[in-house]
Amino acid sequence: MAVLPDENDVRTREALIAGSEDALTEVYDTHGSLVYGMALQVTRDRGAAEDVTQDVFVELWQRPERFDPRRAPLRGWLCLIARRRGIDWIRRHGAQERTRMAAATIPSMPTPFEDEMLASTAFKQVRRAVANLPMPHREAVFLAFYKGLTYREVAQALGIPEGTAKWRLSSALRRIGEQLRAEGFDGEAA
Amino acid sequence: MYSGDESAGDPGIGMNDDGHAGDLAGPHVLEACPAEARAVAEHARDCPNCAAELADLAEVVGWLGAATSRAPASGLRERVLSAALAARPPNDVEARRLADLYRSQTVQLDELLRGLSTPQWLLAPAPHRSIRDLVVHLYGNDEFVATVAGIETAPIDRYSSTSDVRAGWRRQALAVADAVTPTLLDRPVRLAGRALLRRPLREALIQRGFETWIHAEDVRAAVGRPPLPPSGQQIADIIRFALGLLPAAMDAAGRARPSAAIRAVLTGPGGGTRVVELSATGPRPGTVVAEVRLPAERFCRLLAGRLTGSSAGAGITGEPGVAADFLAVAATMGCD
Repeated sequence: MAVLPDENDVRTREALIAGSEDALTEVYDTHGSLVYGMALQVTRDRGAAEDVTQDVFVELWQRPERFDPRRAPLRGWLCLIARRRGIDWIRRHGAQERTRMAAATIPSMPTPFEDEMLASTAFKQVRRAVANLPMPHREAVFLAFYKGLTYREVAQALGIPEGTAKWRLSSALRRIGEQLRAEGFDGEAA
Repeated sequence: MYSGDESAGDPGIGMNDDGHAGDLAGPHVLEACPAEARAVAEHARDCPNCAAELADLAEVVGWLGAATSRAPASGLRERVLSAALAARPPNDVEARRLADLYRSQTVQLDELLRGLSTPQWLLAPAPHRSIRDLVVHLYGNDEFVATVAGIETAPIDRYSSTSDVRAGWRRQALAVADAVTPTLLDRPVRLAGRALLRRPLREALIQRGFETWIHAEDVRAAVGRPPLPPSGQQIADIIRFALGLLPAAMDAAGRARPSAAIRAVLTGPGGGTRVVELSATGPRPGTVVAEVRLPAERFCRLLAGRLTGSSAGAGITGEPGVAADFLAVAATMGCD
């Protein structure tokens, strides 16, 4: 699949491949909070989140060619890598019952900032869009996105048919996208 | 989106009855369907509709990440960068890139100057009394990096002929660009400007390119030519350089806000979102108390003192007094 690549992402990728320390620093300064926040959300452990953040940036620096700007923006790609590494950490730490545990601890929302003033406009918009989802959709997204469950595991955790789980996940993302795009959300500050 | 190609799964398994991704699109971009990932990815390569839907949903997944964004402890930055550079050393691309940006701005200004008539050399782009004075001033500021790079050229001053001024400035600037090596980049240099700061040559080179560009804009404005924005890469360099100096500049200006920070949302090429501390002292990360939003290119013009917060059209949310102080101090970071 291919999308129109972001000009800055293309330039960043080229600079990283060429070995530019500047580019590495800039990527960390721009996306460090995103990667750390994602890792912290998944692992719920500051030390683990720091380890995951380090792994993500070292991996990007060592193999920048794996990032394909035509497939997704750098922000989304780093977010998924952080999430994947966070889930790996949880698995390594013996959370065999993660399906049951995850289902038992579904919050209504991702953990908010302690201080609302810290939250960017973009953050608030995304939070509002997630909050506007019907509860069943929100539960499904929480389990798949933040807990790393497959749609089959989501179905099992929520006691719903697999087809319903698939539909809820797709429908939830479509609704969030529709709301944010209708608000003119450009993701610049995301 | 990172493709799920590495996952196991038989092509075709799990696709919708109509052969399209359908409700697998969401699970696919969430990496929540490992058994079907390959089939979906292969299908999307030949199906523009499914590819477009996956791209849309992948973008939403990136936005979802913003909802959990959280600043890590400040010590993590050095740890991560050190680990990365230990795993793969950088090469001399940085030196070449910085030299090339400076060289290209020098060549552009030189072409402008070459086309000036004698009366045009006497036009006065504020705060300089003539374009000739402006080039002499630029030559003087370039001398700090020339000295560190071991370049010696015949001096010029405001009494030199316009052709000597132009040739002397160009010769020195191009010699600097040619002399830049990776080992020189860490050498401390006095920056141009009133603050008497010493920073590594890598930053001084960014400042030279910045000043050369803004003075070319001054000349273009003086002779009635349209403005010419720098590349996105140069804009990104300028912003990183200037925002790195800003906390200390807030202190020096008597407008420091220890433990407070500004979120600068800079749009367009070379832009991005930066959280800027409002004092070089105090706990970090500071609490974001205001957000300033404007195009990155206009922010560069503001840094050079060519625009103010209001003439740049900066959008402000949060505490307006703090944002105004940030923009006022930022607008003093040029070299005039």
